[in-house]
This record gives sequence, C-alpha cells and structure tokens, in this order.
Amino acid sequence: MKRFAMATAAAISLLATGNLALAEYPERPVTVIVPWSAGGGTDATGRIIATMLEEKLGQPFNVVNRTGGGGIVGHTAIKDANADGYTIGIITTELSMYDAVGSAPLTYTDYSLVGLYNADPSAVFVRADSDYQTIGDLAEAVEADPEAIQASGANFGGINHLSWVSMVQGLGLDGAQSNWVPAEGGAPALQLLASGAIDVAVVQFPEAQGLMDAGEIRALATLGSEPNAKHPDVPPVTEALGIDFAIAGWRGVGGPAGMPDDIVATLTGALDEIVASQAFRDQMGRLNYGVVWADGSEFADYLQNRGEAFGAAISAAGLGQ
Amino acid sequence: MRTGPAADIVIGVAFAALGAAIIVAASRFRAIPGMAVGSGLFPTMTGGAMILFGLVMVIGAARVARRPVPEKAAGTGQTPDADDPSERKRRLFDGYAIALIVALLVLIAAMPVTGFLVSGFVFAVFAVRLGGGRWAGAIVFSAIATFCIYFVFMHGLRVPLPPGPF
Amino acid sequence: MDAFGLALSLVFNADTLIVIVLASAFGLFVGAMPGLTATMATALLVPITFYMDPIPAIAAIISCTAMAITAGDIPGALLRIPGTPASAAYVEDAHGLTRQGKAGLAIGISICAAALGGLFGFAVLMSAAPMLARFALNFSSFEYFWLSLLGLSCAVIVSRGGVAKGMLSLLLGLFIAQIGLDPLMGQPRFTFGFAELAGGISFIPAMIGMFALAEILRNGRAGLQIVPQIKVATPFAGVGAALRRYRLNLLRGAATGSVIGALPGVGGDLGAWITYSIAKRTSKTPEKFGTGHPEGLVEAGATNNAALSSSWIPAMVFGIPGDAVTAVAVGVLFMKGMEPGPQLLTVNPHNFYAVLLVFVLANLLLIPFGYLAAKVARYIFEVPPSYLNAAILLFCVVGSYAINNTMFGVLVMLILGVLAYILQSRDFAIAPIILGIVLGPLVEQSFTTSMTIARGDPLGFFERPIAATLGAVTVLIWLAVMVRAAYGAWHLRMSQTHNQ
Repeated sequence: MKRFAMATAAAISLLATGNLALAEYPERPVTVIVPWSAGGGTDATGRIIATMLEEKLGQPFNVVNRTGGGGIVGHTAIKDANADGYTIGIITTELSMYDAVGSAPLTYTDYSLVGLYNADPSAVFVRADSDYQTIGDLAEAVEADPEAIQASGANFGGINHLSWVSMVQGLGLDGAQSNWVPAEGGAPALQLLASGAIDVAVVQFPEAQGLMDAGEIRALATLGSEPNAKHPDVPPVTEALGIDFAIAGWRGVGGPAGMPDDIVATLTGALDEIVASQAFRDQMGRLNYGVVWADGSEFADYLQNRGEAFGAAISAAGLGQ
Repeated sequence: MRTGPAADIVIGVAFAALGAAIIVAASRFRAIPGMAVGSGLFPTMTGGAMILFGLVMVIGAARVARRPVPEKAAGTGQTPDADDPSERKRRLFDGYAIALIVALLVLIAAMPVTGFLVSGFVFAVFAVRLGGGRWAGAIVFSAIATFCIYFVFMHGLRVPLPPGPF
Repeated sequence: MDAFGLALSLVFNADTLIVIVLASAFGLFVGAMPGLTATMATALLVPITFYMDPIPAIAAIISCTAMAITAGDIPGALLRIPGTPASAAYVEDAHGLTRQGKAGLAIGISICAAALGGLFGFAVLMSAAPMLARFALNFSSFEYFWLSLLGLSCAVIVSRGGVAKGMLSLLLGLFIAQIGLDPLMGQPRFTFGFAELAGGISFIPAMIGMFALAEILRNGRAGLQIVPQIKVATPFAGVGAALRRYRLNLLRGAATGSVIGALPGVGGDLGAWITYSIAKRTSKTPEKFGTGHPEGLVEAGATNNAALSSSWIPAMVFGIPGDAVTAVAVGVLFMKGMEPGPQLLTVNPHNFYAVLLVFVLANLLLIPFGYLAAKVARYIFEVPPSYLNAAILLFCVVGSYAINNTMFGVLVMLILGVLAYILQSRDFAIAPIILGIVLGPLVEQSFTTSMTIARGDPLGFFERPIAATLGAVTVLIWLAVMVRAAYGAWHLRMSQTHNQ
C-alpha cells in the first residue's frame, strides 16, 4: 500500500514537473545541499562532486551547507525540495539510522537515489600515552567495566556511536551500558581525546590523520573486516577480536523523491563517469576517502541492507524507539 | 509605548514571562535514556536566568519610579543619546516605522511570486519616496540599484535570487 | 634557510602576487557589503582554487579571508552594521567617530590596528606555532565552557544600560540559538512545527536586522544623519598618533588575540570582546567607551586580526579547523597535497614558510586597500539619505536572503530588527544578543558534553587546572559585579536617608 501511494505520488509529481523537464537539463544553476558543515568529509567530497558535475553538465552546481541536528536539517531540506532536479544533495550514513533511532522519520525511500560514491569504516583511537597498547587491551578493559571507558566520536546515535556500540556488543556485553559522550563531530571528539577528557575516540582515518602524524594519538583497530589501504598495520576488528562487522559510513548523491527519471538518469550518468575518472580517484585518495560506486537501484539495495544492519544494532543497543 | 521606568517594568515582566514559557516548554522535551543530561536542561537554565534578571529589572525600575531622584543615580548607566535629542521626542512606532515594516512584509510575500527585479524595484521606489526623495530620482535610482544588485548576486556571487515569471 | 629561500620564490612570482591582489580585492568587496561574510567569500573561491597551484590556492584563501574580515569593519564604522560578530564589540566606537565627522580616522584605526595585529600574529605563528598548538590541545569541553562563559560575561559587563539589561540581551540571544534541532539528539525545540525554524536562526540575518534595520527605524524619516566629514588631506590623518598613543593597548590586544585565537572554535569571535572589556577596565577614561573613543578600537581591532592569524595554528598543525573559513581552507590544503599536520612544518617547511609569507603580504595589503576604501567611504555621506536608506534596505533584504536562499531569512531579519528597535529604545545593548546567538551552541554543547563526562557532578567543572582557573576568574568577575551593585545600592540608600 505504501509502495502504491509512493508510486502514485511519484507519477503525479512527474506529471507536474514534466513540462519543466522538456528542455535540456540542466538549463539553470543547480543547488547541492550538504547536510554537514564546511570542512568536514561530506563537505570536501561534496564540493569535489559539485565541481565535477559542473564541468560535465555545463551549469553551476552551488554547494549550500544546511547543518544542524546531526544532519537532519540538511536531509530534510533535500527531501522537501522541489523535485525538479534543481536541488539535489549529498546524503550520508545517518540516513540509515534516523528512523530506527526515532530522531526523524527519514529513510532512503524519501529520496531519488542518484549514486553511491564513498564508503569508509571508522577506527578506534586512543591517546599516545594511553595504557591500551592493542585493541585487545581495550577490549579487556571494556569487558571489565563498560561504563568506565568514556568514548566519543560524534552525536548520540551517529555512525561512530553505533560502531562503538556494535563493538561493545560483539564482546558479548550489553551495548546500552557503554558510555558515549556526544560531540559535534569528529574534530571536537578528537580535541576531547587529545586533552585527556575522554579515553577513546571513534572517528574516521582522514579526520585523525594530523594528530596521528603528530604522535598525539594512536589507532588501535579499524572497525571493519578489511584493513585501511593507507594504514595496513592497523588491524581490522574482525581479525583482532573475531567480531563480524557490517557497519560503515557511506556517502551518496540523492534528490527529493519523485524527480523525473530522465533527470536522475542524466545525473547518474554524469556521476558514474566522475567516480570512474582518475581525477576523482586522485582527489579522494589524497583525502584518504575510499571510492565505491553503485547506481540508483544498486544504491537502493545497499541502503536496504545497511538499514537492516543498523536497525538491528540500534535496537539491540537499547537506543531504538 | 510608555516611556521611562514604566516601559522597563513592562519589558522586565515580558522577559520573566518568556523565561517561564521556556521552562514549561523545556519540561516537555523527550529525555535521552541513560544520559545524565537532556535536551531540556540548558533551555531550563536560560529560562530560569531570564526570570531572575527580568525580576531584577522590574525591581530596579520600580525603585526608580518610586523615588524622585534622577534616573542616572540608580546605577542604570550613562544617560544615553545625549547627542541625539530627536530620538526621545519621536513616538516609537510613528508613520515612518510602520510604513517601512509593512513595506518589508509586502516585499517578503511578493518576492517569490514576482521575482526580485520587480518587487525590489517597487520596494526601492517606495523607500526613496518615504524618505522624501523625488519621483524621477526614485525611479531612476531604484532601476539601477535593483538591476546592479541582481546582476552581482546572481552572476558574481551565485545567489539565486527569485527570478520571477520572466 | 634554504627552505625560506624556496618559500620566497614560491610567493614572489607574478602568478602568486596577482592572485593575492585579486583575491584581496574580491575579499574587500564582499566584506564591505553588509550581510556578506568571509565564509561566503571563501566558499566562492574554493572551486576556482581547484585550477591553481598549491601556494597560489592557499594564498587566495588567506588574503581573501583577511581582507573580507577586516573590510567588515567599514560598514560597521560608516553605517553601524558590523561585518562580523567580533567587530560588533567596537562598532559603537567606530560609528561614534564617524558621527563626529571622522569616518576616515575610524576606518584607518580599524585597518591599521588590524594589519599590525595580523603581523604580530604572524610573528607568533612563525616562532611558537607548535607550542601554541600543543597548548590548545589541552582544551577540553570543560575549558571551552568556562572560556565561552568568560567571554560572554565580558560582553554583558561592558554593555551600556547596566548588567541586568545586558544579561537579558545575552539570554535572549542564547534562547534564539536554542531554536531548532538540539545538538544532543536532534529533537526539535521551540520550532512550533515549522520546518524553517528547525534549521535554526542564523546570526547573519539577525545581525543585519538588529543593527542595520533597527538603525534605519531609529533615525526615522530624516534618514541616517548626514555628518559633514572633516576634510583632511588624507583620510588616515591622525591614525599614527592614535596608534602611538595607545601602543600598549595595541600590543596587549595583539598578544591576547594570538593566544585566544589558537583555540579552535571560539578564538575569532570572543577575542575582541575580551580585550575590549580589558581596555575599558584598565582605561583612565572608561566613561568615553562606546561614544567614539579610539582606545578600545585600537585594542580590539588588533586582537581581531591577530586571532585570525593564529586561528590557522590548530588547523595547520593538527588539522583541527576552528571555524568555517579555516575548515574550507583545510579542505583546500588537503586537496593540494599539503596535508595539515606537523609534517607541514618538518617535511615541507618551504610550504609552511610560504603560507606565512602570504600572511605578511595579505596584512600589508590591508593598508593600501583600506586607504582606498576610506577615501571612497567619504562619498557615501554625499548621497541623499532617502537614497542611501533605500540602498541599505535592499542590501539588508538580499543579504539575509542569501544566507539560505529563502525568504525566511528576510522575515527573521525584519522580526529581530523590530525587536532590537524596541529594546534599544530602552537602552538594551544589542551586541550581547548577537554573541549569544553565535556562541549559544558552543556553550550548550560544551556544557552538556562536560556534564556527561563528569556524570552530572558540577564539581567536575573545576577538576582540571586550566578549567579551574578560567572558572575561578569568571566567578570572581561576577562576584565583583555583585559586590559593586550591592555597594551602589547601599550607598544610594545611605545618601538618601542622609538627605531626609
């Protein structure tokens, strides 16, 4: 029933915007909403994508940061935009969680999916002078008293929080017992770690690179099943602790649901070429972001799987509604 | 609006009422399971402080009102705008202020429909006339100003001002 | 020194120099427009820098930012519309000078103090960047909480109209900052179901409305007062004398700014407020502050740009950006293969030195560009007031529209402008409202984070040494205010009973 209603809505909006789409898209500037602040990974990769889309399609793609509420504001703005193809946005991991956590009624079905371009696991970091030499040491300490270890990485219910909860759960403990300190994002969490206010930071490698190079912090483990390409010596938790791990951060391009099919196809085609290009891989590699590609329908499958994995982790962690 | 300490009492009471409203609204925010602090804590603190300082202001103003001493001695700071006597003589919301506020409201409603060029031009003509400018000057100036701003923002700064039906 | 020679050749070539001049001119233009910000200027530059070599790309960002932020003082001085939250600290003094017919002097002092402060910041960057960065790393949410509280307290205490009214202004700003989705869980607060309100209220339309629109309403039909500007041979006449006279303020402002600026997130906005209140505290003539007195202008102006320089320290040494501008710049550094981090200083020192040289050039360029701006600025007062008002109003509308490309920004500008107009008629200071909106999220976030870490124990706020010191200073300042107020009331009562 829900699917039918959506199909109807899509058909109606298609009719409504059909005459606009007759001219060659895009015929005027396109707005790209980034739900996270300037300087973060989503902003950096979003600006690369926007610039390259501009080169490919010949109209300005203007990046607009709509921040706040753990990405909810920006994601809502993308969802609520006119489905005429002139407002699209970068959608991120958090979209897999809002509904399950109960913070906002947003799921991937609210969007026209253009393509997935990035997926990265988080990693566990401690201060350089920390007592925990390996992820095993940290796991023992968590097993002894999960509440004693204070961890941070971003907002409550965000990707890094869930990664941490999943790891605690993988150790056979109650994930809800873990002690999570909410922060505005990766950088403030690292500041908390470096200043000695917390014990563990769960963030992604590019965010922590500067402090790692400075010898202020150490990486204990990658929260995934594969080692990070730039940090092959940091063991994945699957190997080090034998925990099966399916949670990873992802970033993709999407627009409001009901965008005309030919416009989505134009964007997907352009994005496919961009993601396949060496220039894009070089830029992403320099920023240490992993490149993956999935077009509309594959992207939807990917998100469905993620949604289920995240949903399971969230409800098991006692965060769900 | 009344002037002098009476107005201060009104504003102080208004702030205290706002503080109370904030506390009531904050008490309805959902708490986070297993967390020492919730979304309502900081608003509650803000509201509480608003009530406190609103009342301090009311008491201060009431004391000034009761006493036949000059306002300056009550510790509310320097006598303001000694260099600007015109301000004290004007009513707070005179014809000029009201006309300008209404014009801005109309502009906000009209701009998405008619686009910036038309609504901005009409608004600018009105603003110049309201300030006492002549018709001819107002029209020439408004046309140039509106078009320049439109061009610079649309093409130089990439701000998509509402284009209107044209 | 090899690296330094290499850096010189990287900077002093035609390409880089042209980029610096063009980016500065662009920054000057954007910064001088009421409502347009340095962040916007920087974000617009980023796609262009994709096509540049690394050093010109960074040079473009740095010189554009420095110029845009300093140029924000120009509409502040001329029209009482501050360009940044920091310049709201001294906007009354700058505008006060203009009303005395000394617009050139006001702009001159702002620009020259900023340039000197920026050069001081460069010296700090050159000599102590790693040390300062390490110091800044000691700051956790506890220290941030106290520091932001200290800065806000300064803003309240220096505000005219008394502490109660200043405090209410600040609380109003903090409340406005709470509108939207909360930082902990993303649940809507005070949004009344409006999607627009869920995005929160940006300080830019608030600032435009509360300063520019309120000012136009306040001046009424007569328009902005036409102040006959004193005709002098150069618009900067008297600047040197003022800077020499207040050289101690200049030095202290720059030094304080360089230290506070190194703290990611707060430095740029708070520094000027803290030093302005220090200047007022230590001045022989504190009663002149806010009326067009150069002393606070010199000190806070210097702080502003010194803090701007050193806000690059955490960004470059650890990759921790403090604000939107440095965040964008960090992205550009990454993109150009100059990953921020200590290796920027050790492995590729020529790149680091080149960046520093750009700082020097950008700050030196402030002076000729500022001179030009001051020369042109005088003619603004030749425009009949009705036309000037209409132009300002158009800019108010477009500037507050541009923040999110919606009419909602314009509505916010109008409502807050009218509110500020009412409050100002009763001597409420407007600047603490703006500061509350800007720093509200930081105060709340650092407070809730700290409470979570301390597990709800308020004593936890005094357990770390720096936090305890900052906390003690804040508490002492408020005790002093309360004692003085109590003494004042007692004194008043005594004198009255005596009279009776």
